[in-house]
Amino acid sequence: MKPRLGRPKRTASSRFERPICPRSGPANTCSRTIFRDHHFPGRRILESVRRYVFPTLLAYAVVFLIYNLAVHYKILHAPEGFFYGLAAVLALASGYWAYRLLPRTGLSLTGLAVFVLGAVAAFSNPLLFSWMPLAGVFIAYAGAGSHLPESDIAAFWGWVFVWPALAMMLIWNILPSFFALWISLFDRFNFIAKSHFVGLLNYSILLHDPLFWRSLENTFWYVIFTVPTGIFLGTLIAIMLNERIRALGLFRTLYFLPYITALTAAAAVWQWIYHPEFGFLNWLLGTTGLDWLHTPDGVIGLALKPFGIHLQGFWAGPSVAFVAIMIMSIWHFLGYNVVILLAGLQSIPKQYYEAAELDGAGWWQQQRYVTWPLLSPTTFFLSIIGLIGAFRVFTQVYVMTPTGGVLNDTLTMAMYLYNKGFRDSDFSYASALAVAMFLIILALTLIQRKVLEGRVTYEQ
Amino acid sequence: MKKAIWLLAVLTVFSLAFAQQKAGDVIKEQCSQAKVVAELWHGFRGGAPRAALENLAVAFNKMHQGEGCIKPINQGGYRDLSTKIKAAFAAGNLPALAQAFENNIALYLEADALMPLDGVIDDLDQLNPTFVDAVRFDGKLYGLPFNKSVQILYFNRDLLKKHGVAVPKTIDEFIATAKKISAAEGEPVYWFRPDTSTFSYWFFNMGGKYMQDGKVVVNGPAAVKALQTLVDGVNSGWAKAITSGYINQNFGKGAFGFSTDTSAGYTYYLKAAKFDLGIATLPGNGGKPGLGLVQGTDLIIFKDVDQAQKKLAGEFINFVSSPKAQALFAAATGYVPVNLKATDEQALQDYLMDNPDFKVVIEQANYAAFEPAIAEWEQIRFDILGQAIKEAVLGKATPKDALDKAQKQVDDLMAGRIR
Amino acid sequence: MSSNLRRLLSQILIYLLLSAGAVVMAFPFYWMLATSVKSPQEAQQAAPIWFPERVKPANWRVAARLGAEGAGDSWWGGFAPGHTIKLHVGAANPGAGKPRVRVPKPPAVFSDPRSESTRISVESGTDGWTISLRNAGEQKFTTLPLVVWIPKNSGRFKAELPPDAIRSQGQYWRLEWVNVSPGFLGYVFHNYREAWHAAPFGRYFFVSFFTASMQVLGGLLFATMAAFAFARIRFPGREQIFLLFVATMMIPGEVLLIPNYILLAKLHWLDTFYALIVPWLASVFGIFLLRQFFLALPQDLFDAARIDGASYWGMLWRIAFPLAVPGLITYGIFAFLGAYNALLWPLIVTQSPEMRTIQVGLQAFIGEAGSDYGQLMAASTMAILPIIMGYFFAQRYFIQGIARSGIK
Repeated sequence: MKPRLGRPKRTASSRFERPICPRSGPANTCSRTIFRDHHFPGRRILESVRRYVFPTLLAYAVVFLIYNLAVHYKILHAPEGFFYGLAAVLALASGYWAYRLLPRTGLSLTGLAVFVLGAVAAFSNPLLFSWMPLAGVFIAYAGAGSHLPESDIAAFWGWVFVWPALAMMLIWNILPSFFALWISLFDRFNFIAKSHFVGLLNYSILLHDPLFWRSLENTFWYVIFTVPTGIFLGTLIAIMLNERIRALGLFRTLYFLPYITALTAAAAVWQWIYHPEFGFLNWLLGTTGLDWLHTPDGVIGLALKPFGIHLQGFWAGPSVAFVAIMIMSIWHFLGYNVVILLAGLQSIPKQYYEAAELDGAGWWQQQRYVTWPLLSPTTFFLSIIGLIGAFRVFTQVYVMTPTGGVLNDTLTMAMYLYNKGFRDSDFSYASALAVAMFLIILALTLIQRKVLEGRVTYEQ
Repeated sequence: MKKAIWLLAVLTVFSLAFAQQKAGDVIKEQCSQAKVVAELWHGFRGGAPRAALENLAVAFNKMHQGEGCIKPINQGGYRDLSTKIKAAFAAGNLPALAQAFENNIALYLEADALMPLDGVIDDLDQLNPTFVDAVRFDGKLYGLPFNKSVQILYFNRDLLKKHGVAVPKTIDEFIATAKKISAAEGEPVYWFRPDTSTFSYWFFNMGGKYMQDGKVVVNGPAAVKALQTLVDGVNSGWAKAITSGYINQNFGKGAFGFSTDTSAGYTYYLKAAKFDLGIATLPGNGGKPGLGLVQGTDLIIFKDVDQAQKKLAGEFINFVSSPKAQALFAAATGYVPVNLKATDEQALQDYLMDNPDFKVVIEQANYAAFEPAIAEWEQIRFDILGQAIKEAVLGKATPKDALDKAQKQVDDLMAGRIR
Repeated sequence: MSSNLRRLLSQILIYLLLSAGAVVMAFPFYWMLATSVKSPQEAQQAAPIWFPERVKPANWRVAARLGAEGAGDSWWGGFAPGHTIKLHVGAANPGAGKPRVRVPKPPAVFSDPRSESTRISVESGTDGWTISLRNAGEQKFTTLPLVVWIPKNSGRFKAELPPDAIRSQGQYWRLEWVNVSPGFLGYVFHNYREAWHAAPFGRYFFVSFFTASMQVLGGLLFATMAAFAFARIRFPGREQIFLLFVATMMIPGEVLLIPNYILLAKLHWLDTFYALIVPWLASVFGIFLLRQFFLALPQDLFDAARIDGASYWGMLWRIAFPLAVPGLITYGIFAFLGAYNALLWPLIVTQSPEMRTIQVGLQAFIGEAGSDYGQLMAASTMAILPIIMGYFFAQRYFIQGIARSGIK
């Protein structure tokens, strides 16, 4: 007689077999299946596939819920009947698959029924029924869980723990990124006038937009000035702090305090310090009347003018106003650099210094050949973080020069995005800007990794 | 019983302890007890205009106690206000009332979001017709001129007396006087902000028109001449470009002689000036005062709110345009009273007695000109024309080049080739 | 010997350099505090005033006395019914003329009880004048501003309580006080009091603290669950999903700004707490951090628990969670700091003043305060005070947390 494939004949007691997974004993040793001791072709495949049943049901239920909510709040448009049918078919298929593979108790069958019913009924009344598949999955697990081997239990719970964070990521991070791309293909999408699909028009306008290039130049100068300076100064200070001095705590606090000060408040104070008439800086330097934050002349151009060299545009460098903002930014995040570099310094073993000293190396040589290379993982980390953060600078620029500088000389990319998106209410163009920003940051980060990672010395 | 009276007395005294509250707190109280609350979004950051508006709201709310109240909410400066309104379109929570420039109104009309005010305003014929005409679009009235200001000439009486010169009446006189005093003082005495507002004064009085045959033209001969005058002023040393803050915030920095600034700044100028401040009508051509740019906003009512709020908003508009309210508002702030009967009111008469100079503002309102009321004008005046003026004044480009570049950008913007 | 000297010199040099740097780092804080106790005219001086009038004890005594006269409250002052304030203004030649005194009215009020119920009388003496201000009404007022015009030909003058502004107006000197009955605390912290009432800072603080706390708690919940799953539960697709999370770190916030804004608009969540809290509940940084912590815990612990019949949920909250407390505190601090200090996102998603966080409120106040830098600095001080106090309490965790995040 041909061996019967699949399950043995159903009897009341043989509908399923209680697993022999021992409750006492090392976990994950339960390898017995819930099928009776029947060996049929495909059994191993079926058993290996069973782990995916609950994750699949869970995924379907969550996506189903989110989708229905999105349709209800008019974020997505409800598609044609074909998709409804497809979704219902998927629900039925998953339900049936689960029914075949999972242990069948009253509760698990109820759960599966709720799952399928909810999936079908929700098309009539989404708000009322779209949570039912999710509830059904949990009910089904309540019924079947205790009869499942360890790997299946882990599969279910792992996904349950991950789904909240994953759903948040999908809704607020991953899908919006694609949505941004999608909006950027429309013409002047805002909620006031009508908009239509225009393809890559926004990008071609962007490439010819002088303000875009201006903001890119400004941001570029900002990154070039602040990131290396911050790391260099931070290293110096960290080295000094590391020299076993007293009042280390006090110094570290004083250097760190600006970092936890909100940028808005810090910008307000620095704006007051830079005040042309009553600002402290002008009194200190004796330059009363010099309006730091409203001087659009490039610093490099100013420095070279006495030598008769006249520079314009990009080559004149960042404006005086922008340099003032950069100084404030370095003041702000220096503490962060110092703390991280200090921790990095403290992890360098003393033997290296002792060996260097035995070899007759002076203080400067020690720093150059011991400290700097061994600190390079930390400085590399800081340079990547610094680059990404500097590229996105907004708050201090917005507070200190709300108009982007007299001649758009402090207009950064983030600020241009804000202006275009929220002030001029052109979401499409702003999204195109955002995509451009993303690509530039990505490219720069990759280039930086390529260039610098070769120079990072990891401890052997 | 005794205990209750005692408790009541304590509570009354306690509440009286904080009785002298700011207008904003009073309004909050009034609105917490009202059935209908209509929000008014405005761009008065502080100072006299904000206080005056809030006090008007307090008075109005008192008259409608329990039924309805108007709640003024500040959204920042004017540009911030239009930003927030655009955001409110997205959020679907537009207020009942808001301030708007004419070009903003044009933008909001693209979404057909405003309620026509033709039947709503009672004393339409009492209002200044120039201002009212500026808010007509397609023949319908969409706003109530509320805080309209006009440019006037501010001058330093002490300085003029010192050099024995009279207040200039024509443009040529003005330039000559400025040159003379600047030479004597050794520093420029005509202070101006390099923006479209100042430029508009010179532009209008040299015969310029922004709209020619339905097209926006910013590089015509009058425009180049106006900008060239300013640039020459800076280079010859009789004009000073103020690039940070308002002109009245820079009074410490040197000898102020003249400025052609909005009358809305009058209270601020007075507060900041340590010298004797005088105002006069603008220098013009051929015997008449010069044309001054009308700035300041109109009140608009959005369609999107419920009927009760719209009705209350209409009543507020009528209240605010009444002679008494306009008189008080003008006396407090220096804005032009929009209601022509406001000059009969006691409050304004008293104010005119204390400040005889103020009649200058009322006089200048008869010689007013407007900038175009198209939706793109906000971007043009700040980002395109404003930048061109700054570039020219700061010596980064010649006036002709700057304005030609601006014209190209304006054409591209209107055609949708740039954003 | 010379190496000892060299060491000493280098130590001195290090201290000098570090101190110089520390002065630069700390100076803005001193400047902020100093300006916050200055009157507008004091703040607007080209040469800085190191010791403003409000920190001088002599003025405190006068202020306390005036406050006691005005309302019987020498701490906060005020102007109560039936009380009389006597302000003495000394002058070299008082006979030359009589000063004009007025209580200024707020602009465009229809009626002002404060100026209407104040009775003013001026008595001349040999060394100056005494201005008496009596509250003849029935309301108590928190402040009593005053404007006094002193004829210029009465020579040098000195007011008992230093005026907040002195201006020249024709033949007169115009003296202004924002409050002639301040009381000791009301005098020193005048700008703070004014700033607090000028904008609803109480509400701003509430919004900031509430949203930051909710972000931390919610984020902790989501991140702990996910981190535990990534670290200690073997489920299919674990590596791939973790890679997905890592990939999302590459997306800059700017790309998400507009789509999230549109999403919130469609959900009608703009200008509500949901907009400020929900988009930030999933934090990859938190998941990373906590995953490291959970990985550091011994696997046997969990095996034993599993054998004893513990569920994953129970293991997470009873075993892993308590052992990861340092990491949780670190994450909590960073999440709170990030939420409290954020500007761009709250700026975009809030419209009404009631929903502003402290940063948005401060940014709006910068525009409103205009040239009143004393009030602005007072507001800034109030804005950063909670975090600085929190830092001093939890210093160890701050530093450890940052250091830990760098070493990876």
